[in-house]
Amino acid sequence: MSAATASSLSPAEARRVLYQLSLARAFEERVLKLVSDGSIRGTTHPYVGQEAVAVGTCLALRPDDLVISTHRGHGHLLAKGGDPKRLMAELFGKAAGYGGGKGGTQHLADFSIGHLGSNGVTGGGIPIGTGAALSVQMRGTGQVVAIFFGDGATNQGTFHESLNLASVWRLPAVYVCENNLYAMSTPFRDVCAIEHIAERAAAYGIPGVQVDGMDVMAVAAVVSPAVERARSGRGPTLIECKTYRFLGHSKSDQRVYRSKEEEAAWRERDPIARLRATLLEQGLATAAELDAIAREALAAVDDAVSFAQRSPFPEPDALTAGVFTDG
Amino acid sequence: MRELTYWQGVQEALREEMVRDPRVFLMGEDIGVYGGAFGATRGLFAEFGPERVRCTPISEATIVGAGIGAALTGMRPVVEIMFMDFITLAMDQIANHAAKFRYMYGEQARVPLVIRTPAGGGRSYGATHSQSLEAWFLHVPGLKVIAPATPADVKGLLKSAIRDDNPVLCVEHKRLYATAGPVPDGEVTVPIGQAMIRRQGTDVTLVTYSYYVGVALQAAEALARDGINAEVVDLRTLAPLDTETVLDSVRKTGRLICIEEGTRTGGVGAEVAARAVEEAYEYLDAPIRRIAAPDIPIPFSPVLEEAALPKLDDIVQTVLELLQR
Amino acid sequence: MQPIILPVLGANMTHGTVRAWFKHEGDPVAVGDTLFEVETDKVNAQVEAEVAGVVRQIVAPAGSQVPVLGIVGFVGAADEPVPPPETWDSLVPPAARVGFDQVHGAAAGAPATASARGESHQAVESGGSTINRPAASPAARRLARERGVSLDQIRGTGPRGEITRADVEAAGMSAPAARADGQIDPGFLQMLRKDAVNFRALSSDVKVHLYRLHGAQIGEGVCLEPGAIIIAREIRIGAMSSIGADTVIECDRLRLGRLAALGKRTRVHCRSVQIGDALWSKDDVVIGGGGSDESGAVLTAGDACFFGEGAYLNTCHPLQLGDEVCIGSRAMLFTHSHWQSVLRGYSSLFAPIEIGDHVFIGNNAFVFPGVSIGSGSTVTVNSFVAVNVPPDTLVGGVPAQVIRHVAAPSRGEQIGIVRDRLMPDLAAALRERGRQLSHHADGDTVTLEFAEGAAVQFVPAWDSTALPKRRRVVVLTFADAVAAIAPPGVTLFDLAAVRVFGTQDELSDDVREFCRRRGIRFRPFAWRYGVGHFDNERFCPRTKV
Repeated sequence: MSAATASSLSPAEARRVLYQLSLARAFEERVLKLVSDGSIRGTTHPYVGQEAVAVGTCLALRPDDLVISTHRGHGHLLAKGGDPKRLMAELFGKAAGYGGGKGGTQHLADFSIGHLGSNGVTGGGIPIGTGAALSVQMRGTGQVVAIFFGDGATNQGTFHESLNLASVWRLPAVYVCENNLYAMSTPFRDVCAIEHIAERAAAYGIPGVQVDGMDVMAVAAVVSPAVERARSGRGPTLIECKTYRFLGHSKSDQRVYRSKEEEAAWRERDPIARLRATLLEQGLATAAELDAIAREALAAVDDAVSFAQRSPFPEPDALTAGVFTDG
Repeated sequence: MRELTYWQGVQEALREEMVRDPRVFLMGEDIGVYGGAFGATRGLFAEFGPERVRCTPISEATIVGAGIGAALTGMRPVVEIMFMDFITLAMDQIANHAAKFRYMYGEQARVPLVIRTPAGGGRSYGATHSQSLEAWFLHVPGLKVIAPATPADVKGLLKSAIRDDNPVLCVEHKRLYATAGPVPDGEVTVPIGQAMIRRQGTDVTLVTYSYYVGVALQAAEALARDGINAEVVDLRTLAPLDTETVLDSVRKTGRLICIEEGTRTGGVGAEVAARAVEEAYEYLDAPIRRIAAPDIPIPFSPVLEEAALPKLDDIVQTVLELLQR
Repeated sequence: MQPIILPVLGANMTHGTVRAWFKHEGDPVAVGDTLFEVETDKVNAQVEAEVAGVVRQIVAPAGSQVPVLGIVGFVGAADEPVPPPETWDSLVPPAARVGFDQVHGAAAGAPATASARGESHQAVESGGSTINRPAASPAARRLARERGVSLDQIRGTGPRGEITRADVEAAGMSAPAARADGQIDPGFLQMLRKDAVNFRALSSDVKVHLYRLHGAQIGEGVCLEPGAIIIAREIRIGAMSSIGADTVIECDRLRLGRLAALGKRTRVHCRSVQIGDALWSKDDVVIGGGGSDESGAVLTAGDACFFGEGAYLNTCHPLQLGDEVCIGSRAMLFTHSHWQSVLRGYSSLFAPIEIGDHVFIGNNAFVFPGVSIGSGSTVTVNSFVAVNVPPDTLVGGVPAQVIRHVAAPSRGEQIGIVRDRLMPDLAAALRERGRQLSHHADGDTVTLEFAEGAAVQFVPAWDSTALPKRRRVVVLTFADAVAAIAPPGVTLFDLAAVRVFGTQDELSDDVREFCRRRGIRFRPFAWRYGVGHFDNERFCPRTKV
């Protein structure tokens, strides 16, 4: 745990960070159950275990900064300030959801909080985030765009094209790679000749930084200077967060490609457990307060579920509405 | 009214819109000092500078993707894909993202992106630099597609496209760039989604767009000497298709021929023909015919390429066959 | 001998300018030697020799502008003759020409190659019909259904005997009109009602043809202008009539004489219209209005009547006009009045109007139901006529009152009128039309003599032996003779009987038109107003649709 940064937070702020991690965790765990019981159709891509990356990154962003997310995006949306109720309603396919029920788990956005959309295509969002950074630069708003993607996406052409373009034009972007070691079932080491994605930054002349993605404050500590760099016009940074998803790629994934030992070892580094421990150690919270936070997170998720259950489905005329801006 | 070339029509549209709205900017390969592979952006770099006329690396997917991101956040980019053949590299961004964001994100998103691309063969450029792929994009809901045939229309439609808050693909035929025509003075836009009857007629309806409008008109002239009066409908916009204009014409003439440069199977003509049968069946006095390229890659050798692309004579012969003369 | 051609240096290139030659005529040339430099709007380039030899001729010296693939010179052996200019077009290699034409879009000129043109020429497979019904296009079926025609009786001229729309249309047309008494086929009438929009748009020739085929009696030279339609159970129209554009006539019976000219947008909606020859009716005339579906909705009129613009002839009860009746523009003849309630102290009146011959109803005048107007009378403009008008009376005002009785002049007075007023005016009018003439009066006889040997003469009484000795004489006289026979070269205008006899030509037409404009309308009528005058052999001009 990066003690320096943790202690720079006030107790309230620190508890807030834990709450965000807990909310993301509780939300995902509930979603899995709801998929099992059929309330949520299709599948889900649980973010369980990776919460520190989203929360840590957003900690280093200003509220008016922008993010681009991935198919495994519930965590990013909640960390950026998304509303669990609207998110849950969307997963239920209800009209009150973020997409009116039309997007679903992989296609979420909340433009009002600077979340420009999660993306169902691996690497699909990277150029879009790059374009948003271009726009921000051209309009001189001083914003920064954080672009999330996984290790698998770094082999897509769009990743390379985007970093190249961003580096040449010095765009105010921070490329946050969540290297959870597996693209679906394929180990990263089988599809990439280099071990650390951060090294790819050198090909584009930009800084590449690795960080322990299970340590929320460490992530924040590394994203902050990258954000500053971007905001001051010095261009993009590639940040590789070494992380792990505790569960499968998607709901149905039996994880036959990973060993139980490996999974257990990463579980030891659960970001929530670690932050709890740190907060206790540093006297930033009592055990009772920590439990209260956990309950608060669960309550928020309960609220979201009941909101989603109560919400109506979309009307039939919503089917063909909203394809174009003009009708 | 002035006489302009088609590429001047493009250039003027871009220029006027960039002057009118500071959010409009251009991205593409070699669009700067070089003026674009077909000269359409000539002079714009000198006038607007590198901030607004951005020469990109060869990264079609990211040219379009960055365009989408900029469009999502308040800019109005016009990106160029140098040859329509290369649009394949950007298909994911166009089909899965630009066209769908508004719908998927519950109408939160606006993607006022224009993608311009030169298309078509006849220049011996070979199979990967000569295609007409517009038919693919009819199959992507959420995307508008325009294919202007004249300098006035390319200027007017491109202006409309830039002002449209939806993603618009503008297909410009390479062989049209040097053609000239009258362009009205002043602030004139052409509405998207509206076909135009280029020639009134009573005996057969020729539905076409882009380069083949001129050829169809020549065919109509030739047919007129045989006493056959052909009506030529220039679609101008391929998506959304102005079905009513086509149907009105078919109801009048009872005979429909769809003409395009792209390959026959699954072409634009197939869609037009299907709609005509669905909605004007009782007015058809003859089978519907399609004139298009055969289902082959476009060959290089001039004699083969010439044979591959539909010709004036094909149109005339098909009409004569339909009318049994 | 090889031509040196200006190569294609750029995709949009159409011309180039030769900037400089590096070889002169007579210089030896090796493969790869630079021959000349060319400038286009995009690029300057140097062109090298592709064959060895000697520069035999420079066709395009420095400064010349040459089209792409144009010949700028020739390279060959020193003693080889240069091909003559008329052969140069064929010297450029054909393949290069094809590419060039492709680039520059010369559509019709490109040589068609024999190679595959794609599937667009494959014949459409027929697919045998397993259902036992005649093969017909969808449009043919629809038309047959609408017209109540059975497809079994129609012979198809389409591919493999398919029945086409034209076949169904022709079937309707080829049904012989067993009677030509003006009675229209009910089926055709039904079609007219249902498909009026399309029928109206047909050309005049086709409409007239269809009407005739379905029973209408329509004379030669009749025009039904664009948008005009007649929906009536009986149709009889005399020769050389025209029905103006966008006219809609709906009635049980329409009988129009010869030389009728109906203006644009005439609206007729009543039971029966029966009008004599030479009606001149201007645009936007309405015959109909309230009560026009009743059995008394009948208009009858004599010959040479005139209806001005927007005249309104309401036929609720019969409306009867004599010969030469003029209804001024926007004048209204009402055979009904009933707006105000009879329980409020008003009365309603439904009654016929009867108007004699030679009556003038001024512009905007209003004639009340039940009025009869005697022959020769005039109602001034803007009048309101609610009581009968005796013959030969000038009435006017709101309500109209007698202004004066119009006494017919004596024969002597008439002669004086012709001699003193008409003939001098005629002379002036003919001079206005470019004729050179001299004017002599000798007692009551007035003679106009023309430079080219014709004469127009007024004599009070007809005497065929005392005519001027001219090859062409037009005589105005009070003949009073029933069968006046005009000698050759003579036109006789009988002012008493108001008839014309004998030879007629442009001169007599001018005289006749002059008289017409003084209210003297000679019979037989021979012209249709608005078109001009013509004799019986010439037909009215066809309207181009």
